[in-house]
Amino acid sequence: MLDDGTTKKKMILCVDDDENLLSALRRLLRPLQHHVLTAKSAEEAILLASNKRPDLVLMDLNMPGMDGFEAIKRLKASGVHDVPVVMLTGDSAPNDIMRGYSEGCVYYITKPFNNDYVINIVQYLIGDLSEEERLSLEQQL
Amino acid sequence: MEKSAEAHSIPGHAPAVGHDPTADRLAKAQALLLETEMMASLGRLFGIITHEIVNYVSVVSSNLSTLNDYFTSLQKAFAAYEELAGVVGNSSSGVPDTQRLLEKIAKLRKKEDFDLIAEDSPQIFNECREGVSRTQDIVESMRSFAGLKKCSIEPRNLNEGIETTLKLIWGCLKYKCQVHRNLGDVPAISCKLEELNFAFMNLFLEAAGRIEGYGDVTVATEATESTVIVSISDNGACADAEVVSHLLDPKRAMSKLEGRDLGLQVADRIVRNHHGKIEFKSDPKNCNTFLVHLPIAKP
Repeated sequence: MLDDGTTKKKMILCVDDDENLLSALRRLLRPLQHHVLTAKSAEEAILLASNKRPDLVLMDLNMPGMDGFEAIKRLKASGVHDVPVVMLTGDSAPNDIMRGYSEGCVYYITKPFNNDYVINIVQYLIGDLSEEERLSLEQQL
Repeated sequence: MEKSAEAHSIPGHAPAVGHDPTADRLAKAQALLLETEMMASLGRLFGIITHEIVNYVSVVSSNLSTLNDYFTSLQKAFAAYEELAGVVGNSSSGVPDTQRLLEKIAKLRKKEDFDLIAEDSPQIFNECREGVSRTQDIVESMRSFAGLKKCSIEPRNLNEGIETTLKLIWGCLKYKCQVHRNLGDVPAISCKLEELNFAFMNLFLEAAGRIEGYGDVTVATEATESTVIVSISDNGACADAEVVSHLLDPKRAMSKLEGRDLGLQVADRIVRNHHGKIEFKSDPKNCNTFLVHLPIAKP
């Protein structure tokens, strides 16, 4: 996070049906000093997103009830259509990855994920970086 | 429909019989097809298990990274306390040195957030332990399936097999349904439990597969004088009982399958091999139910 005293805290919404994974994500994102919201289902995530308008969503794919693809579709059709969504899922089949991108996710990360990679993508997407850092990261992502 | 012993046998478990070469070839082709389906079912099972384990590994791996950061902070604290101990133990050091080091430790404590580390670490260890324990459960259950080909007939309790199977496929079922257990006090039966687990797996997946969205699957066991009955019910779309009966019938199923997997046939064959039978009932008001009847004493 840019430490110039003027950076506004952003809001990141993490969606996963596994409570322990949400805990791990909260820890991972804590050093960025943004607000982290969590939802245990796609339905809860859509409700939270429309109320809180997060700056970024990290979305699991397989959840009881609505899945992550359907959730992205509904987010894109709602008032928060411009929020970037990153898929964070254990499903790594090429079909799933293609479907994720076609539904509108900006990155598709497969579990088990690399912490640094997730942090880099989050920082890149919510504008935590200087122009120089952003350009450098752009080459790697 | 009356069936020969061969038609009911699991490939590799029963000797081929029959003198009609055409019937013999047909039976062999059928057995090969079913073995292929067993392999396909195992492939699906491994997919389910992999997905589940990946989730647990993600939690443990991410938490280990956090613990590594915490440990680095604690190492700094340890170094500062060592320095302090050196100063306190040295009679030539003065109060200013001690004071300077205490201030340094206080700053470090704030910067590295020792309070958070102390509060968060037990929770991290709990989550890691849970992930490892669930992975161990899955691996333990997998052993049962790994021994599928060489399992032997022993007195075993079906409730135990049902629990093992549910643990193994929970990673798939949890997205489709809540599983309700109503397992009665049933006697052990002489069986190849590992094979029966495979049959139960196919029936559970079939039941869950009929549910649109999220629903309920209920498994119950009860015993009569001569039989243990396992019922697996779902509240998904009402299935055509006749079609399902066809799918359970190895001779009639071939023309009906057309690309559908043979999971039900595999289940049927395993149960028949245990001198039991599978019935299917569909009640539009309630649900679909598979009833697996298995004799307590082998006839």
